[in-house]
Amino acid sequence: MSTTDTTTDPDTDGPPRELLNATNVKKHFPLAEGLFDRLFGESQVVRAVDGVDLTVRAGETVGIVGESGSGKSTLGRTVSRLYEPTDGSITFDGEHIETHSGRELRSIRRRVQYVFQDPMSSLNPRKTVGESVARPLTVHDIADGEAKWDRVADLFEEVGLGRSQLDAYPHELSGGQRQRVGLCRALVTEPDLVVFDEPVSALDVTLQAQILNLIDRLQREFELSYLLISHDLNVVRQVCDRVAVMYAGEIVERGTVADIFENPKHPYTRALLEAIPQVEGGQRSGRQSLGGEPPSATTPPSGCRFHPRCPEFIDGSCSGRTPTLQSVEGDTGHEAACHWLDRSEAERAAHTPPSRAEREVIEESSGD
Amino acid sequence: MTLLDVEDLAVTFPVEDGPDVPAVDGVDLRVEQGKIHGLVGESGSGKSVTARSIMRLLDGAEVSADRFDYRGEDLYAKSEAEMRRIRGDEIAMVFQDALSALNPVMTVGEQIAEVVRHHGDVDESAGLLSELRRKYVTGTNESAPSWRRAVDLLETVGIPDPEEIATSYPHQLSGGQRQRVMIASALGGDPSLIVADEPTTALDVTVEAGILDELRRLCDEFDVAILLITHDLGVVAETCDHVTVMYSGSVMERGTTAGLFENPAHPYTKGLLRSIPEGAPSEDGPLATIPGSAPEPTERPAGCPFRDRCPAAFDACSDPLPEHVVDGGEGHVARCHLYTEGDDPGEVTWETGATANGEATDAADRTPATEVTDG
Amino acid sequence: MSTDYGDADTFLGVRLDRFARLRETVAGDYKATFGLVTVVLFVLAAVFAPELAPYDPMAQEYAIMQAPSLSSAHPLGTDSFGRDLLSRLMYGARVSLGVSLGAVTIGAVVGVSLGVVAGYFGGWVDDALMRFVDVLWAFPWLLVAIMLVAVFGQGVWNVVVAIAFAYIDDFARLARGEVLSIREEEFVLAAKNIGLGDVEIMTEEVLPNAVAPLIVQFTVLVARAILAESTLSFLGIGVKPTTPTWGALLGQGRSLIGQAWWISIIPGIAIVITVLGINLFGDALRDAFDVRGEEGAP
Repeated sequence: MSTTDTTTDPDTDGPPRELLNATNVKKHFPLAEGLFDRLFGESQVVRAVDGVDLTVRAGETVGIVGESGSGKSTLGRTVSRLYEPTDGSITFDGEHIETHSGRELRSIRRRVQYVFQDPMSSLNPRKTVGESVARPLTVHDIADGEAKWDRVADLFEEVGLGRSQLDAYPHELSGGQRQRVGLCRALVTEPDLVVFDEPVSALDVTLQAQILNLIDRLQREFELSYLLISHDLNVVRQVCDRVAVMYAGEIVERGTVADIFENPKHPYTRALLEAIPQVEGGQRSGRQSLGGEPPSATTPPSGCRFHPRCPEFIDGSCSGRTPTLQSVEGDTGHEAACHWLDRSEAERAAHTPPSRAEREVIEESSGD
Repeated sequence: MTLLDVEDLAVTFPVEDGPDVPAVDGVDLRVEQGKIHGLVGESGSGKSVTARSIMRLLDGAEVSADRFDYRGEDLYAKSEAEMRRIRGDEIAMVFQDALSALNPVMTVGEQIAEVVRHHGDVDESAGLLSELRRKYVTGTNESAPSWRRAVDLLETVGIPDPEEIATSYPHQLSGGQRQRVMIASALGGDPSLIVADEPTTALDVTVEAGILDELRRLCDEFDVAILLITHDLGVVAETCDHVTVMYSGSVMERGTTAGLFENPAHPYTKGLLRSIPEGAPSEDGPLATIPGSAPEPTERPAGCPFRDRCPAAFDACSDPLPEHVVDGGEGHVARCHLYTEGDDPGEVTWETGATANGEATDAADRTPATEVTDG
Repeated sequence: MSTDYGDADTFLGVRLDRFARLRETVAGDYKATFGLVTVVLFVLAAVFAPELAPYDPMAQEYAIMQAPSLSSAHPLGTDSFGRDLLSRLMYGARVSLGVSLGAVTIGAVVGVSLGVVAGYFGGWVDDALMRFVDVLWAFPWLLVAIMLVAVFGQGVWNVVVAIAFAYIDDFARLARGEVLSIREEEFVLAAKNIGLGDVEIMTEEVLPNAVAPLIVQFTVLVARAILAESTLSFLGIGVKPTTPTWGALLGQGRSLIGQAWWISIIPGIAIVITVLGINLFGDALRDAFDVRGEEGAP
């Protein structure tokens, strides 16, 4: 479905320009504590996003995939400056925005927009949807009075809502309509980058398809770039050009959609693909499901954060040394953070992971 | 054998100052012993209401059916006292949100032990006084048979360190663990049928896979029938033996999972399957969608509720839904006027009228149905 | 083509369709109807007293002192100076209405502002403001009222301020509580997302959603303020002693309950009915303003 040509920048005929570039972004949340803990104990911090590099080029759709606790939503909110990053740099069209505030931040808001997951709770129940969508226009002094309402009404029609719904309140609309309103609000300032947080998770399957098609069409029509956050790999596959897989606050694998889906290298990516319930493929009996739970965000496992659950655990290097993202083959942009990349494929295929008891011994000796 | 046999179920909710809401209208459902039956539909299809009608948990609703038999006996003829025994002993329910379904001030082990005492086969007193004593004073003794059974059940559902988890409170566990606890609790009474209402919808995909595996294993090993309610066709395809597809209060199609997914007959099922973003993106670009949205229960068109969105609707569609057994697998029934008895779904086709970019269209804008080829 | 969409018709900043909803609420519920009728009568009597009162409230007619109700040309009777009770009641309503509305309005404006700012910003701002509110709350209002009147003398504004003091903490606490939960809602984050500043968010996003309980509180307190004013007048420290306020009327008939009960009881009944009516009307207002309370709303 992604038919945008991202290989050349229409203006300069060179590679497409980088719209968003995030380097080593971290977002930590301090845990609220009592006086005693603060004085005598160690301060606990939730490492929601712990060192992520991310690039979005003009015209493309980048997907961030992960389960709960992966930090994907926090990442989306941090790069769109809903949160201020704890560390790292974020540049938008060349401009550093990580420390922006006040008027500078406001001007960025016009160009980077965020669509929330739940359109019901992200709309003020006391404003009509028309008012909610029109507000950004007055905030940024883009339009006012009748011109403002005309713009909003046109946008409503563009996404499949009627002009008459301008006066409706959020609770009077259906889920799908509310989602479209959320889209309108994000698009009304004609941004360059839109960050979607689970745009279709709350919708029925048939509505999902409608909204996905709509999002795709709007991208072409308004020349937008997208950062799409989802736990649903199928959605990501349908809509995105490139994908990054997150686990426990880090990116564990990234590449084009083809790379990730046809040639996944990280054990977590593989487990994720295995786990998705698919209509094709029949009964699932006999498939290995990933045990364990996502790790603690305050004290992540040492070394590779995935190692306690990894079905391809090697040895002490997994629990001792954190793997970094390395190129898979050549320079295609497909990268994975796994120690298996230092070894051969044959070795990997033949490997049997140690038993639980053996693992415990290994972890103990590597100081886990 | 057929454990649950429901025929022509209708559930209506009376509404003050307004028309009654016909949530379910003419549903047949047959659940076989030791099999997993998937009840699938989107929101508003009536699947949850159908599930709750089995447990007779619909206060205030008007329920009518030609037949509503469990093990051959009419469930709706039973007294409330008999139903209380059946709930837990024979039919158990697993809910979507484990956190709100579990008692937050009792340990997990306590809750399961309580179920075991009331519904299971243990030689232990479960009278009011002893229960009160346990709740407020002593708790369940760790050597008591109900506690041992609770620990066993926790192990059965795949919880590591069951002894320790049994002494935990629900909020201390993760979502996946809580869901397993609910399943263990449901098993506490040795039921023959478990009704699971969207048990994995709120869980991460990797956790969901584990739970589904667990359900499958339980079904196979312990011969427990499971009625699995879900909106996720993938879950049904991977886990269920039989499937019933519901839309706006009625059954559209049912059959074996293999048969139905291989040879979907009803236009709704076909549309649903086509709009799932799965596998490699289709070359023609956008997903095929079913335009519009499901009608409100009070505004359903006469005859087939899918009529106004169906790309193949024609005049007969305003007549009551038929029941045609199609040649697509065992017991494969399509409730659609496009079919006559014994048709092969693969050979009945029509032009898809869905707009290419999936925009909502008024029913009036749709192009009228084209020819249906037959055979 | 109509360009009314979006900028829906408003009257004094309140959308016209809210009035329609209010009409529906009132029409359907007899309690609300009673409340509305009472409030309307009260306001009409107060506003148009000079035109509607049959007699001059101060005119003394010695010939018919202490005439019982319905006994003569005076429908509600006369007091010990021969003054018409009905007219005095109507003029008294002016004071009651004015003072109570004024006091509660001042209390609301100050209290809600404090509460919203405290709740929205949290932290030390919250602590500081709420401690200030606690101090206000700690003072027994009657003592404050007596003190203020003793120092600044009797007069309408002094009474208004004295009574207002008692209500600031009510509004502040109520508003703060609402704001604490509203500010966690996603639409507040969405407002930040489109670039709204703190003040804009407080006034546009937070406050309108906090309004429902505040409105009910307002009407409850108006009723209480009428009682408060009556109390002060009864004690003799209300507005100018010659003004016929309801509390003063109560006080004047106190010693005559045995012989001319109507002089006290009639104003007493008026107070009861008015206070009850205002409360019922307040409930109806809250229901009408609550957009979420509609059919199909979450």
